Amino acid sequence: MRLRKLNNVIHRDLGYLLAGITILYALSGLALNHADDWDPNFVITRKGVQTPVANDVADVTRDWVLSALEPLGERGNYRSHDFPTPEKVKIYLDEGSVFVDLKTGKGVLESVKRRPLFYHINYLHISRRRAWLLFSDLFAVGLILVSVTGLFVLKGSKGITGRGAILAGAGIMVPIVFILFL
Amino acid sequence: MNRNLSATRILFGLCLFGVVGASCLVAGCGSPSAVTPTSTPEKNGETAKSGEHSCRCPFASKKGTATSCDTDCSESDKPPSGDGPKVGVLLVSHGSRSGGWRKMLLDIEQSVRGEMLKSGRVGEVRSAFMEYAEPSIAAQLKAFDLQGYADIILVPLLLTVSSHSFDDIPTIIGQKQDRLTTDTLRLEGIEIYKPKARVQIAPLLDFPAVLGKNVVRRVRQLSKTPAAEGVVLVAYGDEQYDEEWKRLLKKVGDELQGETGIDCVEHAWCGHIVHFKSEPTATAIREVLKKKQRAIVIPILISVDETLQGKIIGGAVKSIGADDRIAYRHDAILPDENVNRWVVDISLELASKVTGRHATTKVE
Repeated sequence: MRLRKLNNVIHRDLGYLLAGITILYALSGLALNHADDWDPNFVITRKGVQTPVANDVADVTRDWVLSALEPLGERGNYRSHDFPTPEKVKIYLDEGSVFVDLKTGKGVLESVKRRPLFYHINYLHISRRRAWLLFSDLFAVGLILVSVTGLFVLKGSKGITGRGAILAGAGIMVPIVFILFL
Repeated sequence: MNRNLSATRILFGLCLFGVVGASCLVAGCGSPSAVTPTSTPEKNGETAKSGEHSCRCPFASKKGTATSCDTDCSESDKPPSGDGPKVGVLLVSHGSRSGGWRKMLLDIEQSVRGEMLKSGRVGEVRSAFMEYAEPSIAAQLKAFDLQGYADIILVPLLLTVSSHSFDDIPTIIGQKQDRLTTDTLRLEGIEIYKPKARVQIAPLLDFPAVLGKNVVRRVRQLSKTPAAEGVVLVAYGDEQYDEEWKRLLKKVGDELQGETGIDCVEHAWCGHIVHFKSEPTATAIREVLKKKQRAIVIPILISVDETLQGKIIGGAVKSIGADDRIAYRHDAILPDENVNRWVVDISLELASKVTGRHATTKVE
């Protein structure tokens, strides 16, 4: 009896303690699982732009770049520019860049912002910093404890000897089925 | 009591969800992690935390790697000596989790080291990987700094222009501060380190010349009857520099046609741009097989990686199920003597300029 009470207290308090980080990890997991469908870290918007044409890279001075940015409303955000190829210039802005084909003047204005909340939790999620790794290890051990103690919260037909056994078994079967058949 | 238990169950359910989701995430499994580089230690733009292996050499980085330290300890970790200034050469490639891939790149260092050191202009040659593998660029730059080099020539062993060559490498070595690149590198655990030494980045490999010869040689090894064959060139690709990549492969295709008479050349991407999917390669192979009896599939990749050459390109070949009509070998551009030659030539040329600059400065 005392053992079950201790079990429930551990389950309850550890559950409270880990609830927040579990939700954040789960959200980050969802975000990263679908990284092919969306960018989980950045909000990137792209739009086509037209700039003046330049026949020679030598013509593309800082002044040329600033005047090209003027109609785009980005003059104040200019940081630097560089030439990936003799026909293209990449203009770096405070939050984004403009990539221009100098021969046609056609370009793409890319605006980049960190995705609120997700950038930071994803960073933590994949972080290899020693302190965070230690915390992650403790968190993982905590989750195991919460799960194991959770099995013994109730007794009777709704506990691990009854419905709990069926549900816990079903949960274990999911990864087994995936490993064996998918 | 019942209400408490209900709340506990909700939390329990949440935590169970967490166990399945989070323990997987903590362990780093699942598809996103497969493409999320986590093998390099977390450095986050901070200083002096690179590498995990200890080095026994007094002049080397305390946390240098086995590759950079153990093998060349007695010679390479001494400060440059001899007449006149010497420069360090850093060979930089993308990096891969594949041991075979890394070995091919490290073999270049071994092949070119002797000639470079013998020239008297180069004091040390090191290799570094941008991601997925150690030693990192930052770790090797620190090692050069500790050895007291004032000039480093960074030779990117990359096919053609890409965000790696144009943004990532300059940002890693502190020459650019593009916010998106910096944030992405931070997420990927790639350390940014601005060395005390001046770093000059060499131009990208002269691939239209080197690559053309390389591909012709590899196609000839697999070709039986050129008139009845077509070639599929499979390269990594880059979304932002799509035009440049296409142009490069077009040049290679033209050279191939001129040298071998094979007049049907298709290309496909296998990298991030196609989400590492096999289908684009399979589509290109099918296109060739519509026109020709036999398709020769050539990976235009620097080194051999089990995922790229194996799962993606090999998977595409397998999915078509016409083994007798497809010739494919899990090979890469390396090893190639011409690439080694180019590395030596460009390094010595730039080293001469650097040492010449010092000489001029002294005279002045």
